[in-house]
Amino acid sequence: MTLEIQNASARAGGREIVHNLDLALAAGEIVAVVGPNGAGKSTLLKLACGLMPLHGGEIRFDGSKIGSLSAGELSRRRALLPQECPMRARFTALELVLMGTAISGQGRPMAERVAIAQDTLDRVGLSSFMERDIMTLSGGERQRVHLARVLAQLEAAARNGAPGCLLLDEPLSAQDMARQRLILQIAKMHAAHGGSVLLVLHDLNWAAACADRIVVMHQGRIQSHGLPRDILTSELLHDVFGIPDGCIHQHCSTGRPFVVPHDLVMPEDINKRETPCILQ
Amino acid sequence: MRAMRVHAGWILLSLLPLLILVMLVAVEVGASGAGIGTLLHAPDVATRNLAWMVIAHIRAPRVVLAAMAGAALGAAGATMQGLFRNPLADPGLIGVSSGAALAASCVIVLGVDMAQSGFLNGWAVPLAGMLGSFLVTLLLYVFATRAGITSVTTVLLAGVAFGAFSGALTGILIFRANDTALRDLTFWTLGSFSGANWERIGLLSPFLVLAGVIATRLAVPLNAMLLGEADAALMGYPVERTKRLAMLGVAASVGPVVAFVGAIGFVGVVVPHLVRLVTGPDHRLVLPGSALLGAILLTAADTIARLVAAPAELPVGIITAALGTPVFVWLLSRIHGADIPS
Repeated sequence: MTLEIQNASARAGGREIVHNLDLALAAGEIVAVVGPNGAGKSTLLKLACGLMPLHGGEIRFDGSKIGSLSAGELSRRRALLPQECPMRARFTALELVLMGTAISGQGRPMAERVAIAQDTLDRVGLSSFMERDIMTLSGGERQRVHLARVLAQLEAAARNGAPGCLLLDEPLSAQDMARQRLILQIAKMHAAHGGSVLLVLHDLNWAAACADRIVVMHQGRIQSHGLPRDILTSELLHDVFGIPDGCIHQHCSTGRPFVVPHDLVMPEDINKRETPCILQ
Repeated sequence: MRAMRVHAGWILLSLLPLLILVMLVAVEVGASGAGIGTLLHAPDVATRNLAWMVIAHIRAPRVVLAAMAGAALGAAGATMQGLFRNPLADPGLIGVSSGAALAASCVIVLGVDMAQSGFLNGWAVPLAGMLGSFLVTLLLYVFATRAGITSVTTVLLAGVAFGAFSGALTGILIFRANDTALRDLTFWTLGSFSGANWERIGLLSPFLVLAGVIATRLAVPLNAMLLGEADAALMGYPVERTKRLAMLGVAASVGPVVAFVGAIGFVGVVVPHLVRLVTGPDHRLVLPGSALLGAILLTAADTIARLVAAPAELPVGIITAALGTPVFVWLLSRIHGADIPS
C-alpha cells in the first residue's frame, strides 16, 4: 500500500495549522515523524487517515484519492492508532479487537476474524488477557489492545495481498522499554509483509533505530526528511529542539546515529565518575 | 467474561416467558373482578359475555399497549445512552417528548371542541402529539447538522433548551386551561393507558416494527461508537448514518407512544442500566434486553396503577417515578465514580 501526500494543508480555529506537506510512503517502508510539541505531527496523521478535512492538496492510497473512498474502503487501506483511546465501556480485550475487523473484514467468517484478533493480541503480548475487561488493564496494556485492534483491522482486510498503511501516533508513550522494542518490531514485521508504516515518535533514538526515513516537522511544515544518518544532526537538535550541539553519536555496529544529551551532568559529578567513558 | 455474556444471553431469553406471565397476570386482575376463570366457568352467558368484554376489549389492549410502550421506551433509552455516551440520556432528549407534549397540550387546551367532534373524535390529541414529536426531532436534527455532520452534543443541548421552552409554553397553556382541559393535561403529562384500544395498537404497530428493524442495524455501530465517533469512523463504521438512524428509530417509536399514552418517565433512563448490569455494554444484548425489561416493568407498573386505588386508577407515571427513583439512586450509589455507561 502506497501513501502519497501532496501539498496538503489543514485549518483549525480559522488559521492554517499545517502547510504544504509533501510525503510519499512506499510499500514496505517505515517512516518516522519527529518534531517538538505542537509541530503538526498528529495533524499530519489525522490528514493521512481522512479524519480531518484537507484545506488544500491531495492524499492518495495506491493512487485512489482519499475523498473518493467510502469509510469502509478506507478502513481496508489504512488504520490509525490514536494518541489516546478513551474507551469507557466494559468490553473484553478480544471483543474490542474484533470491533476493528467488523467492517474491514466484512464477508469473512466469524471464526477467521476471531483467529486474526487472537493472533494480533498474542503478538502485542496480551494472549492471556483476551477475556479481561479492558477497564481493568493498565494504561500500557490498554494501548497495546488498541494496537492489536488496528493491526487486526488491516489484517482482516488483506486477502492474499499486502496489508494496508499503519499510522501510529506515539505508540510508545505508555510502554516500558521492552514493550517499546516489541511495538517497533511489530511495525518492522508489518513493513516486511509489504505494508507501510508512518509513525509519530518523540524518542529520536527509537526513530533512528527503526525507521527507513525520518521526517522532521517544525511549526506546521516538513522541515527536512531523509535517511536517519542525514537527518539526525547537531544542527537539527539545535535548530528544531533547542538542544546544545555535541550530543550525536554513532552506533558501533549499525552505524545509526543516537542522541545522548550530556549537559545534564554537573561538572562536580564528572569528577565522581567511577566507570570509564564509553561514548566516543 | 465471554462465558458470562453467553450466560447473560440466556437470562435475557428467560425475560420473554416472564413478560408473557406478567401480561397474563395483568389481563387476569382488575377492578371488576372478572378474570379468565369467570370467562371459562361462569354459570350464565351474561356474566361470561361481560367477562369477555372486560378482558378482550378493555384489559387485553391496555396490557398490550403497556408492553409495547415499555419496549419502545426501554430500547429507545438504550439507543440514546449509547448514541450520546451519556448515562442520563433518555428518549426525551431529542425533543420527542417535549414536542409531543407541546402539540398535545395545544389541542387539549385550545382545541377541545375540535377534538371532541367530527372525524378526529378521540384522535386529535395523539395525532397532534405524533406530529409535534416528529417536527421537533426534525428541527433539532437540522439545527445540529452542518456539512453532513451531526453534532450529538448540539442535539443534546438544543433538546434540553427546547424542553425548557416547551415547558414555558405548556405552562402558559395550563394557565389558560379550564377545569376539564386541566384534568386531561394532568393525566396526559403523567401518562395513562386508560385510552387503550385495538385501533390504537394497530396504528402504533407499524411504527414499532420500523423502529425494531432500525434497532437491528444500530447495535454493532453503537458498540464501536462507545470508543468515540472518530475511532468508529476510522474502523469504517457509518457514524453519520448511525446517528440519523438512531434519531429516526427513537422518533418513530417514542413519538407515537408518547402521543398515545403521555409522557412516562424513568423507564427509558433506568431500564437500560438494569440490563447492562447483567449483559455488559454490548448493544446486541442491551437493546433487546431493554425492550423486554421495559415491557415487563411498564406492564407491571400499569397493573399496580390500576389496582392500588381501585376502582379509581393512578396515572402510571406516578408508579414508574415512585419505583424508578429509588432504583436509580441505588444505581448511582453502586456506580459512583465509575465510568458509565458500562
